[in-house]
Amino acid sequence: MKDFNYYLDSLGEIGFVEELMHSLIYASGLPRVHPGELVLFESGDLGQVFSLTPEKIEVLLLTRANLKVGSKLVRTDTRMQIPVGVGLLGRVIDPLGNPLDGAKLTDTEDVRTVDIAPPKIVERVEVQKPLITGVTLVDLVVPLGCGQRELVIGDRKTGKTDFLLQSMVTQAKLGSICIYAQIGQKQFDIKKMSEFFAETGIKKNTVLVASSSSDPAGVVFQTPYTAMTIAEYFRDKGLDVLLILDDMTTHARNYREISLLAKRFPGRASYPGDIFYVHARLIERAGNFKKGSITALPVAESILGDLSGYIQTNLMAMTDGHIFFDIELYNQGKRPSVNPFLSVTRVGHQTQTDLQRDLSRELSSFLVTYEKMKQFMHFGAEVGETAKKILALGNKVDSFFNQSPTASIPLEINMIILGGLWAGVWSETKEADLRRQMERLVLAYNTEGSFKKQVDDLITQSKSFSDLVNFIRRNNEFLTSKITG
Amino acid sequence: MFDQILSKIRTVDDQEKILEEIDVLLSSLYQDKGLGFESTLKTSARAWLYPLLREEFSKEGANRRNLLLNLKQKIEGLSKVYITLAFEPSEDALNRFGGVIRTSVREDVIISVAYDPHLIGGVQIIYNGEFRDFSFKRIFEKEFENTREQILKSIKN
Amino acid sequence: MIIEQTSFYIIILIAIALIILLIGVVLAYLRMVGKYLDLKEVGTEGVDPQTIIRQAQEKAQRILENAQYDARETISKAGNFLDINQNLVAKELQRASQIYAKKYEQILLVTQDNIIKTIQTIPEDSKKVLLSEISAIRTLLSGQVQKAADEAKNLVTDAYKKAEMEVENYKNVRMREIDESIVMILKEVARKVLAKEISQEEHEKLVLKALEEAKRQGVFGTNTENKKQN
Repeated sequence: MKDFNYYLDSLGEIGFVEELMHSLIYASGLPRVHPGELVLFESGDLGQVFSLTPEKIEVLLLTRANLKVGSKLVRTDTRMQIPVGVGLLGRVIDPLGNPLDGAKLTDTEDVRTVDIAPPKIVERVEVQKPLITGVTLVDLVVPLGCGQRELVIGDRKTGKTDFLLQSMVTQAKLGSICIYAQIGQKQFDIKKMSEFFAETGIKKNTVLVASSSSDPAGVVFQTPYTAMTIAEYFRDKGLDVLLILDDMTTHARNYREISLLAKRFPGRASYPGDIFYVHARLIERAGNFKKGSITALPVAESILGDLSGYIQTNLMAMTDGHIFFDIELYNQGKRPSVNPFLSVTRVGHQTQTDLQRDLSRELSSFLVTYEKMKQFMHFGAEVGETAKKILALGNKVDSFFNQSPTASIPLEINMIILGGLWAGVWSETKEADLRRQMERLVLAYNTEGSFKKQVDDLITQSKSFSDLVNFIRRNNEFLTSKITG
Repeated sequence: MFDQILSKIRTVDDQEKILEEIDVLLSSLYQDKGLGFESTLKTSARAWLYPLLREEFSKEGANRRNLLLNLKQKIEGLSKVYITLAFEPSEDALNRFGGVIRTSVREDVIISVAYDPHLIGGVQIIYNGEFRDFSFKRIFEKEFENTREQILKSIKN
Repeated sequence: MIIEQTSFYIIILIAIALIILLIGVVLAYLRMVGKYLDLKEVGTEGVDPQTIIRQAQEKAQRILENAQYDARETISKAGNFLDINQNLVAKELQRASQIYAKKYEQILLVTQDNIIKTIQTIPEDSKKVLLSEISAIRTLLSGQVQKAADEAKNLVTDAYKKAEMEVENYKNVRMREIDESIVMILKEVARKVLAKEISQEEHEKLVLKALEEAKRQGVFGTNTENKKQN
């Protein structure tokens, strides 16, 4: 960005501030300015043209400006751009591309426009590769694919961020680039996030784009667009990118604030009429493409589990499914508190192998039966042997799904453990020991090459879930030896 | 009437003064049951404005208030050309500048003149957001920057 | 201790005597009962029970009196034994205490001599120790002083170098600032000179020329309403 005089001389246009309204400026002049263009004030502050009227220009401030009526501004004839490059990896930046963690940005080979149109249909490819999150319940019941847009929705404090961070850690360790956009959050949370990346050793694969709640509204509004632009850069390098937008309800609230200040006519819940467009044109930029993929996990907050909120339903409409974090399950102590019945994945199953799909179906139908049995139990009726077995197995499956927020469990071992549960390996085991034994198996898988190979081979050879279960039933020593070992 | 009045307003200062006078007239419209207006018109309005207004008010069916408000609106709506000069112009010079501008734009345009000695010579023009710098300031600074090192060397030697 | 033992023996003797007496009484009673029974058989054959009872009573009385006399004798013997022993114990105690007192006195004297000897040797020992300590401290101190002196010298040298560098930097910065101010002054002077060089007429001509140029470039001819509605 050059200085004020440069733009004044080169473009030959000038404007004057007529009216100031919090983060919105109304100016006159600048006859050839266009919407979305950056304008530079004489004081060095930056703004973006929000809208145009015949008499005035509406400018959204991007810096904490101390302007007066009569202040001069010039066009820059550029849209908002940010520097992109491998130098962004491991850094914390603001939505304008300025580093927040001290040192200057280096190795930024390119500059990209932040707000662009989403790619057309010819550039898109079907979602084919699975995205492993390391969270058992999600990987088995609500599987995700690389290039999927999956909404993560739930009440506050239901474990959404834990799930996102688990997914990030798993994907970063598998070599994906992870970009986390913190939209209008507390400064302390931004710091904590940065420290988390450093502690888990995934800093070199992550970029944190953060705006705090005290930043100007224009900056907060730009946050997810900046994050998406960086994701597109890495996608164009042929990499798989995981993009987390935390959270879109704050973004919507911020946009509502701007629109109401700009005296736009308020729509439903006072949101502006174009709130869907604002989010859709962002989410549509993610997907699976010929060069690489951007898997977007936008986050939405619900109130008391209400999925029918305006922003929530908007986001559900523009994504390929949603993972619902239920406050009831959270209060029951389930971690993660994903409700498998209310969670949807529209393109996740097509990325699964036949075995995984079979397993997923079997598990989903079992969960439905188990849920029904539990409902039945509430009446205090006597239950038969079959029902008792289902309830016992269901309890074990609940233990199986309960997972620490720091644990990342590979899908293969999850499938084997589930096969073992179905085969009755743990039919006589107490619940207190069950979790420990399962963890031993996971540890053995992660540390013993021979056991890992055995498990992987078994997974590859099994064509269906019943094949797997039968094999385990006949040859359960390879599991029991690791449990008791 | 309006055209005649508007043609007399050449600068932003003129505009502000005329507007003040109109505000005074508007506030005195109903003083002393309308009698105060006449004396205010005589004492507050400038010499060339008084007969024009007098003539207009004496017409049949003339509504003084509406006339004054319309006049005020027209005067406020005059478009401005901002020129920044490196010298204090004389009355003649201003008239000439105004004449050139009026022939270029349209008649009902006024000039806002500012003085900036840093321009050295020439003028900076701002009209409807268009900015043109026809001063020596830029050239001088550019040349000075280019020869800065040479100047320093020659001083030190 | 001896006195207590003696009392204990006395008590035991009394107890034994009483027990013997009791046994004697019981035996006599039993004999009496046996005789009564015999007499009863005889009485049933024509003996008077009242007489038997009276006889038995007299016998019992006699036995009791004998037992009392024996007990009295035993007690008086025990009392004498006690007195004799008490005297012996007292004498022994006195003798023992005299022996101990003498022994203690001797020990005190010996200790006193030893202490005096030790106190007299302390100055000699401590003098030796002190001297050795002093020499050690002296060497240590001189080493430390040398070290401190070297460090101080280094610090001073470093500080001097640093100060020199800072002065150099400051000089450079100030020189640059001076250059800047010279340039600014020159600029101002040049500007003023140039401005003065241009006469009023020339100024006006320049402005008119500029206005013509602006008109030619279309500055005054822009239709802003159309442009803003793009």
